[in-house]
Amino acid sequence: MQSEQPPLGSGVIILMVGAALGIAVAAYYYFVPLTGVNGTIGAGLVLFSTVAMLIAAALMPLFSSKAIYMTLGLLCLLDVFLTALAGYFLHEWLLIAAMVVALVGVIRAISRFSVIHRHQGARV
Amino acid sequence: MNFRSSLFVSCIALTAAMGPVWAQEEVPAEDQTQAEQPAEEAAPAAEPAAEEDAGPQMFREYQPPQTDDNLEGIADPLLGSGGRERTGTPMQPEEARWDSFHGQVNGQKYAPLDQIRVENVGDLEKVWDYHTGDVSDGSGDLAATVWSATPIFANDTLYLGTPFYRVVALEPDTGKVKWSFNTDSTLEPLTQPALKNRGVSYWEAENPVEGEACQKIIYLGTMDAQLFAIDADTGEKCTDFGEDGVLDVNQWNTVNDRFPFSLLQPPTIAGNHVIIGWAGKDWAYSEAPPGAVFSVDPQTGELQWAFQTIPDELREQTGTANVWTAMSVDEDLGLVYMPISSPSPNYWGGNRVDEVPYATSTTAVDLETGEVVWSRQWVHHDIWDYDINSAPTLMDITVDGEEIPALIQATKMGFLFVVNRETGDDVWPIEERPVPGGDGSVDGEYYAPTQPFPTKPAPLLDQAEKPEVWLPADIVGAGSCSRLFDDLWYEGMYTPPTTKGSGVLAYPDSAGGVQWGGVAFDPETQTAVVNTSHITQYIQLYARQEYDSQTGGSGNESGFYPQEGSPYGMSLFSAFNWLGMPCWKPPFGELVALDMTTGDVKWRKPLGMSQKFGFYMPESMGSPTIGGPAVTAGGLIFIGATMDAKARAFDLETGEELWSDQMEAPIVANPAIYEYNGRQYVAFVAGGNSIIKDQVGDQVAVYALPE
Repeated sequence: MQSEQPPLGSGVIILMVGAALGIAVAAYYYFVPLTGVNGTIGAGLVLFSTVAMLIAAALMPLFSSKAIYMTLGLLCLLDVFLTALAGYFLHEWLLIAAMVVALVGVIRAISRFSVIHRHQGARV
Repeated sequence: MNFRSSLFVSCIALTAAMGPVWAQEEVPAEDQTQAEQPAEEAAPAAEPAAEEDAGPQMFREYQPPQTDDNLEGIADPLLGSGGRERTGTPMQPEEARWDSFHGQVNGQKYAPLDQIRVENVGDLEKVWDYHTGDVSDGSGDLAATVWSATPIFANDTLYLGTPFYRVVALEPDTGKVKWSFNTDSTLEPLTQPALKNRGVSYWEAENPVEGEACQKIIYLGTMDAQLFAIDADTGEKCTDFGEDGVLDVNQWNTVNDRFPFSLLQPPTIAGNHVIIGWAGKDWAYSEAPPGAVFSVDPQTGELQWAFQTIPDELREQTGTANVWTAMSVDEDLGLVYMPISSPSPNYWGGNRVDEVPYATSTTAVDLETGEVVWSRQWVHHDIWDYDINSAPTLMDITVDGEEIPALIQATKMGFLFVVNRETGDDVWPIEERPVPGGDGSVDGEYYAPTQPFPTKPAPLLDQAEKPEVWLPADIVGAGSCSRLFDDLWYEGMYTPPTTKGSGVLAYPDSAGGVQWGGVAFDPETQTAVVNTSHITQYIQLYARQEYDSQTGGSGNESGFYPQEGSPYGMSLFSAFNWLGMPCWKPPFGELVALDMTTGDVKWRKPLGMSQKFGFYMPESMGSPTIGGPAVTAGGLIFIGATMDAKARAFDLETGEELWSDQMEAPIVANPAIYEYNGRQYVAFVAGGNSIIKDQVGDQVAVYALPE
């Protein structure tokens, strides 16, 4: 049984950095004139999705439940893919780069948690 | 294509709303043999109608064309005799000028400037931009704006008209305001769904009187047909013009005046003539103001001549067939070329079964008298709203070793008609081919048995076959596209409107093919350049009672239009699935270059990207286009015209895209190209048009090479 809060691992930190970069890029494209997508629903959507990603990443270390942690991780993974896809169709190439960073982070966070959980399981 | 990306294609849904905005602003298998017959022999040349009244002011009676009536119900070509006396004013300006809507009154949109070339266009940078402030997205008290103004460069100044009916004069190298003039005109969209403006016109005296005002004049028309004359140097009204500087063109709106004239297109200026067409309200009325073009004195506004487009006996029972777009002029031949729209109502012609010879035609009239010299009707008994909507482009071309003074007339149908501009005679054969008749469901209608088909250049889109259903849209729509197409009647272009099924498939529709940006022409390489759209819509007629019960009356519901006074209301919709994806296969818009010595296509490619909610569709699909190209001696094409609101430059020879920049809204006007103090500039106006995308702008951006 999971009984300890997972540490703030490097995966989560990288995910948060990727999400923060994504927010910066998405905000730039949404708010700055002449980006080609400024003020559009699509650009607003990726701004929302990257903010959601950052919040989810920040919440991950707060939950000791594997189910919640993994659910948040998988949602972040889905968020990363869909945001990158939207970035492709919005021609926000830097957003895709940010999502690559976030992808590294979320994979690392999920896999690290699994390792920790196995070790903790072995101690019980 | 996944679900999310399928959303992106719903951008084309915006074109569904284009209906009336576009407006004003196949041969059956058994007939193929006939259709492939050689061109019919041209009708004998007719002499211009005799002048009846040589008075200085003339509101001329309609003069019927003198032709041999070869085909019943069809206006035969009225050809000029040729041999006109020439004035010596070259059709091709000797110096670079961009002082009219299409750059030059010959409609070429050509700048003989080569500072910006294929090799260095990639270095182009924005040197200034300017926002007029005259913009509305329609969310407040004001209607949305539609700004299609090409800036004009004259008098060492860049002049703009705005959709709030102001004139702004800017320094051409810095964008600093020299002066502005506000007409304080009504900002009510009296005849249009939006506040529209396509710019201003410029005139200057041949022998200016030093120290006197108004030797150089800017003209701006308004939604309620007031034509303002403004001193180009000072921005003050020219009080000798009309009444205190304003000419009320609506004073000549005396028949079926259900709506006022609107002067959205700047007048055409040639010699001592200000030539004025007008825009009206389409699809609403059966009886409407009949088409007329007026020529007035540039300094006084005094009427010089008026040309009526509809026979006297039909003027009360129909209407429009007006000239709402630019005209072109050959000052050497002394001819004005008028692109004339379709008569009212647009989709039922039972009230006008007699010939209306100048409707949906290119008609050449004498610059000094307004008398018809030649006329070619491009759609007989038009019941599709195929207005001739752009100024013909004049060009001297060499075909089979013969130098021909020609013009090319682009059309909504995607046909490009090329004729001798002195006589109206074919350059390449234009054939009368059989077209489908009615299905018997529409009372009182007459169907022209044939329509003109050019043999060269090839049509810009393939109207002979029903457009193919686009599989992704059909899948997402659970087969709705296939079902819709199966329920739509189509036997090739000119399949007439019907009350049956879901109606008739219109391809191209009244929004399709080429719009008012027209054709650009490079006289050095004799290459013509044109952008075109591929849009599929469907039209259905409803008996009056059924229409009224379906729509709650003869209102102006989206997609439904009353054609009040006729027995049929109508609807027009774009062919989309439930998600707004177009049911027809891309591309949705293209840029095409033509070798005018042979009439062959040099190259064609999808133009721009469609966009919805910010999401771009692949470039291979192109974008519906409004606006038009400009070409330069530097071997370049400059064009906006696309949903993605980008200004672009292409290699004229290969079609390769060489440069682009983002604007704040679609560029729905031709660019302007000019030289000032030894530096070449390219100016784009990003005004937007709800026809193409729900995005408006007030930006002028000017580009040049780094100093």
